[in-house]
Amino acid sequence: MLTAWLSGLTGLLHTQELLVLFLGMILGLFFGAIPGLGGTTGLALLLPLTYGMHPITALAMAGGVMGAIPMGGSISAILLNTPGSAPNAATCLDGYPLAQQGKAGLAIGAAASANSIGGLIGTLTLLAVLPISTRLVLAFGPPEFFLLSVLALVMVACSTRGKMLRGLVAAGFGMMLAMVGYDQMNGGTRYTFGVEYLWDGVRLVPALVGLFAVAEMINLWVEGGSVARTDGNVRITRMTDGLMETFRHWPVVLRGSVIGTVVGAIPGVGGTVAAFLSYSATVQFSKDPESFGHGNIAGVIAPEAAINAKDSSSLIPTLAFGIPGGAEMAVFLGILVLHGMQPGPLILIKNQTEIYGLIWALTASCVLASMGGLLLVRPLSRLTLLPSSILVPPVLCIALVGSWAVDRSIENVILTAAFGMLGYGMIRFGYPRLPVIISLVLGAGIERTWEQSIAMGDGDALILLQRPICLLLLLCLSSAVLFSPTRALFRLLAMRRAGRPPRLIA
Amino acid sequence: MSGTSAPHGVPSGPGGYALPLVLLALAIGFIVMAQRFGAASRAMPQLVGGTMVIFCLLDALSRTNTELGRRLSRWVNPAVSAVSVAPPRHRQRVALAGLTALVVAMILVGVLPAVAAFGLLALRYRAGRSWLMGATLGGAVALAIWLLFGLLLALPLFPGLLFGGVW
Repeated sequence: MLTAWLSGLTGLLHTQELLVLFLGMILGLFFGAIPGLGGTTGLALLLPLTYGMHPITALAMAGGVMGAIPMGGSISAILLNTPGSAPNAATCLDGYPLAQQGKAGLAIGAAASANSIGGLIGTLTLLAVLPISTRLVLAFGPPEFFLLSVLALVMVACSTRGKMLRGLVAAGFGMMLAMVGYDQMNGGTRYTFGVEYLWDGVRLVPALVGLFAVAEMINLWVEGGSVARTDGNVRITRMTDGLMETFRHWPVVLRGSVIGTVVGAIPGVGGTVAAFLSYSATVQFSKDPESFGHGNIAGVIAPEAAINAKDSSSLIPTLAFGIPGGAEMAVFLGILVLHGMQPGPLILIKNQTEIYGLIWALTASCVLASMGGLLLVRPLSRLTLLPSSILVPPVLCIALVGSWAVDRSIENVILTAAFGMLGYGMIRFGYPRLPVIISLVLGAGIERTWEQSIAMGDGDALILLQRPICLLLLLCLSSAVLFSPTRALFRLLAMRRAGRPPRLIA
Repeated sequence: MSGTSAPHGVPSGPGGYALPLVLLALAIGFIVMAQRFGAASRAMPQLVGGTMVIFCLLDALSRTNTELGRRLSRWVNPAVSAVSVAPPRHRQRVALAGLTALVVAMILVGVLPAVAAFGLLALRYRAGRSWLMGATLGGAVALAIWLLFGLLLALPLFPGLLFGGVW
């Protein structure tokens, strides 16, 4: 094992590999920070560029990009409320309110250190777990995948502060959208209305860009003023405090990293779920849950730690079984295949140097990208002082062109704009947008694993009650649904006992 | 979300129910359309649509000024009592029309001219800046997009349907 680690490290310690790693890190920060590009698009765009490179050089670039994207995404999530990639959407919930309160430096400092620590924990876990990963993934069958995805969806919907029902409505609407397109299990198309573009379903990147970036830009445009709601309220004097906040909230970092590591190792669930599970867990464990969504620093630390930890552990199923943990990993799988590496148990024997080199590159990128992100905080923080009328046109144009660039389809631009308008409507009418995206991400997987589960149970859904992990997940699901009403009930009873009239806002 | 608030914060009158009722109609339409698919293909859409119908009904019910509505709102939607003030309608119309115009222009005349024109007009009319400032920013945005996508990423930008672009 030690020999393999060292061979990976020595394989990386060459001028060319280090330069490519650094370039990948810079590009990762760049792709992560620009709403609409993100990790999947960034990696997909760079995939052809690695052709002709030595495999370890290509993997160094991929590691550099993957390690830096979360940090880049957190910068735009905190400053602009427009996550560069889907997982960073969780960072918006408290990061953006902090930026509006003039604490952008604090939030970005905390995000940077949480990113590094989460990434380091993730890669350490990857190094430890990779050789024994077979048992971990094989413990999950379709019923477990189905329940885990439903649990993630319900938790996201219910974690919307004080709007559980509207969160569930948004999740249901997202599931309806996820049913659009080709029916992979049974053949044929559904809800496409004869539009060929919809055969592949509602595409995630345009939907994501529209619902977050474009909707937020429309909202800024309508409301006017600057991204920061009060003049001169963006200060970055507390960056060191932000770094220290992560250490002060070490249980949050640890929990987020563990959640990210576990969720990342399960294919199909992805970083968005990891980030929101970590966020939800932090809210539910907090003594002050009402402060979340209004600028609680733990709400930034929790998802950031999970996102980077997830990035490392999602390599486990990708490398060991050839099952990509998410869209980004699917693109990464393409890089492996392009360079003649066949994912599966043999990859650790045949391509030991390359794989451990990749892990080192990922580790280095996590730390370097956080430092790079911190160096860029000052100029980027100033973005929030720009008048929205100046900020909106460029961001709107880059978001639309970014969504076009995914597969060079002009229909993507139309879909992005449509989702932008939908997102703006949801902002105006007080519906959370995040459950829509989570449903879109998980919808196809939920349907597939449901049908597989039913087939496994010979047409009987009782199979979900016959497996120990399923029972555990069902327990978590019930807790997630009942948590908010139960808390409201206890609060009401407490107020009645105290002789105070009940408050409506929980 | 403007309008008179009911005691538990939901706008009263027909407008307060519009959105859940629209979503309810969509969910019912979704279930009806699912009947055209095979038994296996419609199972999940029916489940999703049925669940959505229940959620929409509960959402609509939670907006009513009844004891049940108040209770529902208190248990599962407590934060909706914070009614936000809607911005002026004309601003919303201008923003949505601006976005639509940008998309239509990108499709018809291509990415770069559309972006440059959008930047110029947005700065001139929305931000009240000079024509020179508008042209500078519009040109800078178009240049940045060309550098990033056209040059760095080697993606031939969409030229527009009027200039040889293919749908």
